[in-house]
Amino acid sequence: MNLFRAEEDIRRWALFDPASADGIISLPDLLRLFGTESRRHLLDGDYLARWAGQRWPERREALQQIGKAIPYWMPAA
Amino acid sequence: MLDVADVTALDRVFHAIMTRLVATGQAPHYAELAPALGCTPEEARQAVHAIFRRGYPGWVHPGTDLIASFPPLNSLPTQYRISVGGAQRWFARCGFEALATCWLFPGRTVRIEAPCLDCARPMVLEIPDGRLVTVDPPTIVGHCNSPWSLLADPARLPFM
Repeated sequence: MNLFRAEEDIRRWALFDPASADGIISLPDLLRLFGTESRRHLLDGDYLARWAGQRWPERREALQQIGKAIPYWMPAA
Repeated sequence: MLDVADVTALDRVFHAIMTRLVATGQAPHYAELAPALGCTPEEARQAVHAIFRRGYPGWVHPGTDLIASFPPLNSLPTQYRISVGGAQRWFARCGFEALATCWLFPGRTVRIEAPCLDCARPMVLEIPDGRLVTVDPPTIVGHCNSPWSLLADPARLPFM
């Protein structure tokens, strides 16, 4: 899961898998995916008890919101 | 005594690891955790593994008890260098997790610097509290080279 200077760099990358074209994502979408509520509580003393279980439900919701509710991104329920 | 089946106890360990990483850029050894947690080193060692077994997506270095990855930060250096207040002390686990490091430094600007894997030219992002204020070059984009959906299965995480 990497950042590249531009989409052309991804496709030129020596290890680029041509089957991974669906894996390209914009920075604003990434920020949304990695800015869900549970992420904001990593320093809380009850993170595991209260927030960790929300990571994937939140991700599924965020993937819907950014239009990436496709098999490449969306885990099985 | 520290009961690794008790999530409240594991939360004490999790918090100790995360706060140490944020303070120093390095994950503690389990033997360093024990005095602060009031438990034995062996209990602390078991607790570290129990956190990952519960599904928290980090890992120890293979064949050891050394915490290598504790996302969004990494104790093992990566190409994603994180600076706060001018100090480059941290590494993100990956390019995606780099964006989430801002939540560990509320009210401060996190600077992410990394070379592009294709051309090795630099990339710079600055993020205070989830807002992108610097993106250089402006064409920076993310990529997942294998289906991200696989990460929902903890058994597929590296080294676990």
